[in-house]
Amino acid sequence: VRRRGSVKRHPCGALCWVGLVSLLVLSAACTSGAFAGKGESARGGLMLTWVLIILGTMVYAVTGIVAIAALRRHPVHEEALDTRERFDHRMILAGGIVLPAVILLPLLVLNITTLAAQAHNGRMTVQVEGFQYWWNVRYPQQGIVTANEIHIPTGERVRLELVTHDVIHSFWVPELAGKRDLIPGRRNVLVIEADRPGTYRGQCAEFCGLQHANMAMFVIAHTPGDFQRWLRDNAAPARVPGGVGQQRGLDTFMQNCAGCHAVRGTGADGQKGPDLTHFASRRTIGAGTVPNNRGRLGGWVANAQSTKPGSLMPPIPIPADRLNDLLDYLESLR
Amino acid sequence: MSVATRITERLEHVWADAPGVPGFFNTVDHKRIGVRYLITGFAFFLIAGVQALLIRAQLATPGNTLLSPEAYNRVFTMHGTTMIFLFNTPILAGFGNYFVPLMIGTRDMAFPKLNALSYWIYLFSGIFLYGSFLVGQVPNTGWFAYTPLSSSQMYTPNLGLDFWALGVVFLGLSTTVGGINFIVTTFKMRAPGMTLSRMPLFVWAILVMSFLILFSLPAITLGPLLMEFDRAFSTAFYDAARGGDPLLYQHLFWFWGHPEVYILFVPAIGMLAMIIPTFAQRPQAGYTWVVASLVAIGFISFGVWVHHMFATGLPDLADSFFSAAGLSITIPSAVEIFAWLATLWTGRIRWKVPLLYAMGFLSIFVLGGITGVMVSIVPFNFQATDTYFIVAHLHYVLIGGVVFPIFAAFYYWLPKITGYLIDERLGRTSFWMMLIGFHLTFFPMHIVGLLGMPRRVYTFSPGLGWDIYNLIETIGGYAFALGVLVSVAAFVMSFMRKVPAGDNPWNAGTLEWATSSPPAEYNFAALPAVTNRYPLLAPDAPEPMRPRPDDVVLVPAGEDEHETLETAGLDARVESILVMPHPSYWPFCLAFGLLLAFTAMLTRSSVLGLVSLLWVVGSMLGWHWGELTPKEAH
Repeated sequence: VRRRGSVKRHPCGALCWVGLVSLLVLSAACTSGAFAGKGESARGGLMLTWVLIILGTMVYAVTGIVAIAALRRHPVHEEALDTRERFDHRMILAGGIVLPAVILLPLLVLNITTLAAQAHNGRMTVQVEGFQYWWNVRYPQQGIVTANEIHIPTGERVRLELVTHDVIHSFWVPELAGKRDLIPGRRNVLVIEADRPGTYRGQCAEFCGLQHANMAMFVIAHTPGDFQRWLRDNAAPARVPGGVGQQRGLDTFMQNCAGCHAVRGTGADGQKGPDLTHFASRRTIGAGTVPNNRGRLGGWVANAQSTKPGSLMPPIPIPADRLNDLLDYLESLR
Repeated sequence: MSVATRITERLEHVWADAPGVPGFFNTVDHKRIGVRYLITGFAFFLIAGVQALLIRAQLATPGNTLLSPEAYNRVFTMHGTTMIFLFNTPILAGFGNYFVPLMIGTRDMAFPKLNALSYWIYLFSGIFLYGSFLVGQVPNTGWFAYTPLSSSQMYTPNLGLDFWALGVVFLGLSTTVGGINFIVTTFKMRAPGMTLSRMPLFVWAILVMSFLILFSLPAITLGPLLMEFDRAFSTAFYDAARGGDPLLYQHLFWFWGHPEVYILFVPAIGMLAMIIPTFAQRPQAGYTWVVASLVAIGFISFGVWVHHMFATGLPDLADSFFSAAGLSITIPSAVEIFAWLATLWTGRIRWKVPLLYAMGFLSIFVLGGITGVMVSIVPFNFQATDTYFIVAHLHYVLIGGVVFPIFAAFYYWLPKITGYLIDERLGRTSFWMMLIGFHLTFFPMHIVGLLGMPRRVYTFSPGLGWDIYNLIETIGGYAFALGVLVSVAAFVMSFMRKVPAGDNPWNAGTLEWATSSPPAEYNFAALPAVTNRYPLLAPDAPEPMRPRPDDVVLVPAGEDEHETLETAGLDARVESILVMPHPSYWPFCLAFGLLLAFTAMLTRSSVLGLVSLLWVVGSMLGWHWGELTPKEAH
């Protein structure tokens, strides 16, 4: 005989509700990052994400309700042994086998179909090489080299070739696609696509050393027309120095910076640091560490280690007037 | 003097350790060793907890400069390393050490000296790893220590990663030895009549855990060992430029790393399967289901390691296979959950602190399981992996699935170990603080992870929408820590309150409650015989501390032999009388020799290497010397 005893409210019941409500908050709170889905490859995953969140919430609710009911029951009489055992088996079979199987099988199918639908190719290829702690970006067809910014046209699949020669990094721009690791000795491919023009932030997702936290990158999507203009501007060599001050700045650059940095159109062809041919058009310094303005740039050149300790950029001890000329020159590299 | 008193006095004389310092170093008593595991493990839990608080303090606000990048990387590396290697695994082994022999009704582990050896190695490897702080060269590449960052002197030039790689290999010896000991103990030393189908579920869980250890530990030995070769001898196992492969390390690491999750979770299931039935006042529902799913989890856990590596760019087909395996492990886990729900449904519930923690487990772990299904789905995993979503998921699984059961177990079994009851009110306070603190800390991490915050970052920029979540997490973290402190206070105060627990304070049904609290050195005066799963609830409950004339007591007349029964692996028929070793200094000596050996490898000192070699060989000879003359068993 099963009979309900006195219903005693125990706070434990509340626990499950707290969790449930929190899951709903999660669904409501999120409108950016992986929840945005601003391109085809991100959207497939996003649909799946919502399916998972809703199913997960339901499963948590069902389990929670069963748990609360179980805890609130106060059977007055002990059930007969065989009745109890039959009940045990049914409950375990229903909750432990049938419930998960019914949910998991369709999920598995959805998983495989979504995975199979992901694009593996694009019209345009961009090569991305990870360094401790920045991204080198190369457009092989146009001969453009830049850093920490990837410019792409909207509405087009772009194939990223991901390589590294130091340690493992991981490329992640949550609004456009999932992650793909950069692994020494391998060439991984990730296809990204943006529907609308905009700037999409991402950062290295695999721990890569001291400054892993400051290894961001931006994908900037242009309309196809704007993108063609960007390609034209950036395929061009660096501007020649305008005036005596900038010329002195270039000289300073050649003496102090050219060993590591390249500026196409000058003799500077160092390969250890980012290419600076169109440096002034970039948004940040130090892979997203600080915004690109004159004050930050001066600090960076004088002592990058105070901004980003552990980066390869050494302090450059030069007098204030020459630093001024150098900054003038760098700021002219649009 | 009664017969019973004479017997117990004689057993006391034969089994008691020497008092004071000699007894401290030469004891092979599984209970003393178990307590040492519990204390050492808990100490490491508190140390790693402080590290967690430092992490949360640093991340409370964007751009915080409380910790330098290097300090942060060291702290988060040692937090993970300590929690997994030095707290979770060993503390569960501690419960196993203390309670497996008691639950199966015998007087010690199968290999008491090996048991002492495992503990000393564990202690020394912990000291070894933390020695890195003394020389200021601390591991700093995460508890997973991916290559080539960790394997090349170019990227990690100091001794930090050598401490890590050698320390992990060193500790692996302890875990392996412990695993073998548990397996043999379980199969050969169960009380007469305790067939496999009557074995307590915690013992089943420890058995499954031990097999997981045996099959997975070689991978976590090999991975770091090759890393050390790359570092010390410039081999190229993980150096792509010279034909090696950094991914090899990830396969080795996760081939251990994923079963490791279950090495932790399976004993926790075992604990809950002892605790929940006691407070539902009925036997565990679906005993066979629970055992089958423990074993199933054990097998499936070896087929899911690649879901840590989906983003490395493996073929879709491989990803799909491992995804399916990852999903299938949900089923045995759900069986466990619903077996407990069925137990509670038809049980009569007594709300005591251990049950509260068990329900805390349920409320947290189920959500951790659900996010586990989510991360098994490959396209979702591409987004979630290496973000705070994973940090949330793994803490839901490991704190909900392991730490809450461990606290339940402390509140449940400490009265047996110490003989004193723990204050209920403090226990409840601690529980609610820990539960609320936990959700506050880790729930927002799901959101902030999907918003784009990667793991293992020492700071983050303002204006990305992550600030408020991180602040809440920090507040929650400190609330959780306060809750833990309240529990520590409750444990300590139980010694001052001195409320005697009695033999069986919870009216539980398994054999560990048949002994006195704390148990005598010899565990049971009369070795109990068993006819069902919950012997103490049966009408003919054994009373091993009040031996009757026809009980098996095994008190040797002349010699001071340590004796217990050996029984058959399946049906626990009595096979023979086992003569167990006496206390010995050799386990301590051997472990210390190994500490010297690993220090020699660390410092590349050939003199120390030679000394340690002689020391180790000498200890092994000494260990076996007394056993070279065979003794007649009687």
